[in-house]
Amino acid sequence: MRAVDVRDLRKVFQAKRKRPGLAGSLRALWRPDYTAVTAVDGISFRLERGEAVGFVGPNGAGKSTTIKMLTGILHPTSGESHVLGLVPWRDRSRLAYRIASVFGQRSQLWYHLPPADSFNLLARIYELDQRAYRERLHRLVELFQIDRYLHIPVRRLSLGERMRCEIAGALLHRPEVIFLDEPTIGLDVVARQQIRALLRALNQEEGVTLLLTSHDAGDIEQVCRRVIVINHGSLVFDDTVAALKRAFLRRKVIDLKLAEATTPTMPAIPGVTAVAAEPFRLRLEVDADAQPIEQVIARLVAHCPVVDLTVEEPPLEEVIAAIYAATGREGEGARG
Amino acid sequence: MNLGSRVRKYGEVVLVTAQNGLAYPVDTFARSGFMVVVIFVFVQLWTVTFELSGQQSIAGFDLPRMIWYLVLTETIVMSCPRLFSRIDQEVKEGDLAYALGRPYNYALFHYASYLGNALLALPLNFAVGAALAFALAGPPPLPAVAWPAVASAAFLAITLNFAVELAIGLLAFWFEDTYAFIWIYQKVVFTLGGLFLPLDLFPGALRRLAEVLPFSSIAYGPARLVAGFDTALWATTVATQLFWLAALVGLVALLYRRGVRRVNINGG
Repeated sequence: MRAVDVRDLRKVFQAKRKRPGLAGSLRALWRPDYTAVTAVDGISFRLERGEAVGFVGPNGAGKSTTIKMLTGILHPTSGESHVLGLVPWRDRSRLAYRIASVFGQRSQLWYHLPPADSFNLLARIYELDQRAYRERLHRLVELFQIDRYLHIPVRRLSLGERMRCEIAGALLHRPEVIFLDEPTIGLDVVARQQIRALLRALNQEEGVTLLLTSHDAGDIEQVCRRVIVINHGSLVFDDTVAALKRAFLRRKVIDLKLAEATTPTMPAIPGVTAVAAEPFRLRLEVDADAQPIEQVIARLVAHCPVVDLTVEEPPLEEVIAAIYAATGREGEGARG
Repeated sequence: MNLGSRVRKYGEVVLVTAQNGLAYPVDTFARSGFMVVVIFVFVQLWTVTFELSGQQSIAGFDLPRMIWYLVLTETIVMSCPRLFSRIDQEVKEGDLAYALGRPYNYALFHYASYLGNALLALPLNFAVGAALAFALAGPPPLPAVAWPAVASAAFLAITLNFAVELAIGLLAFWFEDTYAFIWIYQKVVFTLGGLFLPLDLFPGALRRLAEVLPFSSIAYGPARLVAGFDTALWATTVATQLFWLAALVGLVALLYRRGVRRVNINGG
């Protein structure tokens, strides 16, 4: 049984439209004008158990709507989906015991109470055996290093500390699939790294299936092997992170460490431009479509006194931006 | 997943909500302090009214009965948490994403949370109001054995208020902002519910109308028991409350079933 199986899923909202000004407001009272907004437009994908998959797209692409349909909160307009063999909007209560959701912009912890109280409540809500709950809590407290915050009111915790507690709380009932919607939003660099490491550990050690939505490409790159990109409600890419980089951005950067302080005379190679030249160092940008990277390296090694050489992949952020730009142009006018 | 663990989950919600309410004890106690102002004003008002009328009793209420009646109505109404605003907010700000994704009954969860707040406020408000009424108007005109019966009617009144506020809160699925509805509801409880004035003082037709509406079961019904208790009156009061509760549970179930299909979670 797959963790998630989505086929031709579609969600159309009826949004009220109002013309500007008082006249528009009065007219909307008398004759409201509705327009159909297609938030998710027939997407299909599958997640095997134990996969960690990034789910990315620009604002309004339909990511959150998809997650809310997969957790049973929203009813789809058409299409099918199964999560752990259950239909989310029909079997929401049964599914709730087996999945978890973490929304970075919302909190499930009681603001004025310490996380320990919220955890106790969650244990009751999920009807956990008290002994099993204590053991699980002990393990999560250790893994997430939250023992110091357990008895401090949530309002006094930093965002990073709170988010670690949020995720720990979501894991108490040993969910098989976790939907994470922007779990690192607003966090500083250190807190982000901690959350990413925890998610990796969770996926690798407990085999939990992750569907991670984030605007931070670093989250996807460091936690997920596979990435699904949607734009304007449609799926535009579904493959590994490495394949995404290869397919959408052919630019690579070669960093050369040289044996001599003087800049060598570079051979003219099509598709290669120097972006920085310093004593003992040269940085080149290569268009891999114009010139295979292996050939460029071979010619550089033949002509320059190379001590060390590194090839840098473009950051995922640039790749995703390139996809958005491409599919945005194609998808213009698709919504509404 | 037995019945015991299902009941315990809602019991835990009651406890956690009460703990949350105690996070700022000064705030909780200060709100009960408002009872002092309200009861003091009513004592002054009715003392003057009785003096000017030259009567010992108006529509069956003497001064102590009137004051204890008002202590009860004010205790009930002031102890009801503002549930509608929480539901309104959940719908508007998207917190439903968590609420609907949990293995609990949405209405029962809110009821448990509502009780956690109400059961904290109710004894506090009553203690403050009763102390002042005792000092200014004398002991309650009610035998001690009747108090559990009055408490049961007060509990049902609070539950009825919950059902009305939940129904109004669920209208947020259609209207998003439910403040206008709750404003009207509160004002109707103030008047036709008998919060400030027992229905016995209303002119005939208006009194009959107020008695058949559910609002009188929230304030007037249980408070009337303090002013003149008998078992038959208590049984009628509770039966009326249960009737309206059943009707409102049906309405809430209908609104929830229809509303949840319309969910359009804001904010992402």
